[in-house]
Amino acid sequence: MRRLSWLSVVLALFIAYPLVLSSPFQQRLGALVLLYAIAASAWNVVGGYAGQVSVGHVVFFGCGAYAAMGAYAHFGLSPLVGIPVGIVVSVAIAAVVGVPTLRLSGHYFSMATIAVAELVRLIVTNTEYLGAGVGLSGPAVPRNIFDLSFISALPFYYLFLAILALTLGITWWMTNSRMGFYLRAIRDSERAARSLGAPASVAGALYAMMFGFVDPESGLGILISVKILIMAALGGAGLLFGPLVGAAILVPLEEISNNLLGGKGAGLTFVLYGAIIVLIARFQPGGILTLINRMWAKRKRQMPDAEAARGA
Amino acid sequence: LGIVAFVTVSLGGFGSVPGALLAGLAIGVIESLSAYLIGAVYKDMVVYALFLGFLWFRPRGLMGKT
Repeated sequence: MRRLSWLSVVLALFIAYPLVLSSPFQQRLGALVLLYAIAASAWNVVGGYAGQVSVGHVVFFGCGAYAAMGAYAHFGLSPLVGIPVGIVVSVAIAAVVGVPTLRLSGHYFSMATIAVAELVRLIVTNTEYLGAGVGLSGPAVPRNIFDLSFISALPFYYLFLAILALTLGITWWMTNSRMGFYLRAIRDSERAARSLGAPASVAGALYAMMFGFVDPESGLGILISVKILIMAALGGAGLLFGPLVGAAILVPLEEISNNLLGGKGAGLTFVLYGAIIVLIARFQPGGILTLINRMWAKRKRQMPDAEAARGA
Repeated sequence: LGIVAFVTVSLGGFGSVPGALLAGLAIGVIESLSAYLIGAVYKDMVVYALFLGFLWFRPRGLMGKT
């Protein structure tokens, strides 16, 4: 019950955020945080719960992005039409790639996912139909509301919030319910990987719609995979809200440092990322949320003592 | 180039120096041959694809410890 009230407070804060801090930069920042939180939460199921560190999650992200932009660029349809296509393609890729890779262990699995991601990126970079190195663009001028081509980030913010809630709901269900227990019991991380490719794909599609284009670097670059991974690890891999916490810390950090430093310091973000990887690995492999949980538990344990002392 | 280096190490098997040496030689030859025979843009694709195929048969690389 207590948890539920905490949850509703957090949700209310998220709903209120873009209305209170309403400058375009702040709204865009909020939308980006949620977007990366979706992608990192999807990663979390394979990487956190099943313990297989995927460095190729960007493939699903890219599938969605390319499907959405492709629907517009080649067929003149709303990018929304691309979302189901992207989901189907990414689930198919997860099924095909999952068979040989999920039985690999540790570093070999990570390397295999990197190889898959790079393979896909190289194929797309050399495919004229998918825009090759230049990428695909969305509608420059929205024809109707279904083009989802808003100047403001506000509609995207709420869209992302809804999808994030859905993703976290599915994750929670898969890890806590009886059904989820069975799923894990039959070691069905493959099915989990397949189904959780879908939110990443949707996130990619919406990312492309928000920015109006996708190219191999922004949609399939290995850097995106690394970002997703670091966010989940920083917040707490294997914890439901870990990726959200990580995204809420890292995305503003990156956006603000890019803003302050301008074009000159663009590379500095990655220095920061490197430092964060080292710090998490050395001091807090469980992530920030684990640290908070531990402190919380400690305080709770001390509290009854204090009450007993007062009563005496 | 950095990623191909990682691929080389895992192809050889993590922790195995002779494996890395052998894998490095193999990848170098494969890259050059595929650049010559198929096309320069495809050389990395061939390496990644063969790497994935190879892991199917030897999940711990050439000389990785089991």
